[in-house]
Amino acid sequence: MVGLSIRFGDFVVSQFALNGCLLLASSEGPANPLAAPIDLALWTLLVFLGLMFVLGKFAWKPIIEGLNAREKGIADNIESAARAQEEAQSSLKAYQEKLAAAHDEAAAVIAEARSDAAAAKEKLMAEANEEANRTRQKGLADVEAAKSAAVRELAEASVDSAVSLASNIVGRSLKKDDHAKLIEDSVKRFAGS
Amino acid sequence: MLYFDDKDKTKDPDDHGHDHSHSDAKAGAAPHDGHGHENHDGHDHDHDAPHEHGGLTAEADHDLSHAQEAGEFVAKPMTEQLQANMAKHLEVGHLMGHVQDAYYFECPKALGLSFEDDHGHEHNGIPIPNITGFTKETPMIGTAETPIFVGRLSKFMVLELVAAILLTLMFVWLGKKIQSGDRPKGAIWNLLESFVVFIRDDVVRPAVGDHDYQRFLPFLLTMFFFILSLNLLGAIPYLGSATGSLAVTGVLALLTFGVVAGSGIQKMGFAGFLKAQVPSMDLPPVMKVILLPLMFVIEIFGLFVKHAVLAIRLFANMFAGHLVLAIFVGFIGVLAGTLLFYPFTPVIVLGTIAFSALELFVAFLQAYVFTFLASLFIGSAQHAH
Repeated sequence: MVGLSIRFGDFVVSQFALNGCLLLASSEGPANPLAAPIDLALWTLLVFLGLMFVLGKFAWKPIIEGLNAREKGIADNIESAARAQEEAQSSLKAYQEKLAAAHDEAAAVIAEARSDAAAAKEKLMAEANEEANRTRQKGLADVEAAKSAAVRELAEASVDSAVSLASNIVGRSLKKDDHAKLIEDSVKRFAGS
Repeated sequence: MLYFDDKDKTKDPDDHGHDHSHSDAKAGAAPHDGHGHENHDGHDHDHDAPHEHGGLTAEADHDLSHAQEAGEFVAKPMTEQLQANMAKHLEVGHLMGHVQDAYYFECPKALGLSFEDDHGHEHNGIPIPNITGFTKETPMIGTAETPIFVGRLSKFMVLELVAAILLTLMFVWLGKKIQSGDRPKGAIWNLLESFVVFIRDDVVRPAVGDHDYQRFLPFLLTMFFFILSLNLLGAIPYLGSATGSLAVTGVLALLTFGVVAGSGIQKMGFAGFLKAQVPSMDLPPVMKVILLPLMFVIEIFGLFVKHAVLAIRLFANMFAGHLVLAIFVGFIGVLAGTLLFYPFTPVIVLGTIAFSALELFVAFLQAYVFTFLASLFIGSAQHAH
């Protein structure tokens, strides 16, 4: 493997060759690892430049543009999704507020209805009570009147009978004025008893 | 000492005649020419049974020169056999021939595709048609002794063309796919796209800078995939690695240098570009007068050297890798005809597979390293030191 060791001379020559000063054609037989034939170099140059031109125009351009478009699309999607989420969040909040307001309103309505009902009940009760009272009062008054009439009648009758009895006893007939005076007194007493 | 008792071989003169012609042991080809065939001819018992001898057998010793002249196989002691094999299969020129450019594609010998080149040497393979008609003896420019420009299609040229066509097909297809706006589907699409995105986002962009990197993407992407595809073509048995030639890597490095200097001069002007090579330092005036010219020379020299190293790194990696593979496989040829062939060939084959796997890694690594360094050089040319 003696031939494998790279000689310094070859190394220096290759440096110059690479730097565009000189591309050495292989002239040292097949065993020169640093052989750099010019035709292969020129061919490489042509193939590479042609490849770069073709790929640059028909591959890298659409690829980079497509990738950028996709990246932009993804970024836009994320942004719009974030915006949509924000919107959803805010509308959810609004609905929740509305719902809470409706809840309060319903509660107020119920409370109002309750108080209305209570008031109506009160009113009805009061009216009924009043009616009942009035009926009772009237009854009482009627009873009183009937009672006083009965008492009067009773007194009159009893006076009459008493007078007749007394006249019978006394034998004397009382005059009409005496008669009335007697009735009144007895009624008063009767009533006072 | 172990050797084969190969008296039976004389029954098959054709094979032995073949034995002396140019032979090829590349990439696990059949064991040494004649013996491989012999072993399948029903003489296995004879070959597997070693005979102990102190040296050459009497008859072999006696007939050696005659037999050789007659093109017949003669039993030799193992050391001699090994030495003969070594001289043939591990000869530097022969090994290099497998790694370097050629005017034909190698083929397994079993395919029976052999041809004679211009010098009358026999090769196993397919010759590349000589369209231009020039040869090394009759070059387009130069003389037979110093051919400057041969002007003939070679193996590496064909491989470069194949790489360029494959890349064009793959990436034009990828461009159409990506531009369709669909989501990436399928292994090939994702594979190619992840490579492109990796080179753009993890190599070129951080090295060149957010501001300028778009401009250099076509050059650097083409560079990466061209080198990678040439390296990978080299991993296919019987092809070759064009990046194992200094002419190829040299041109690629030269192009990189052109882009570095061109973009630097475009950005800062010629004087500005030269000035930007010298780092600015706070020095007393006296020191400045001495140091600045010195540093300028060193930095300019460094600018050339680092691009030269770019070429040499890639070339040396690919060349050495393939040379080691050729030597590995050559060992099979060295052991052929001796008993060592049987226990060691599987080991050599396994070793070759393992080393090929390493070469696969190196193919990617070197394409990456070249592109990464080219990006760094371009990046440093965009901004003053």
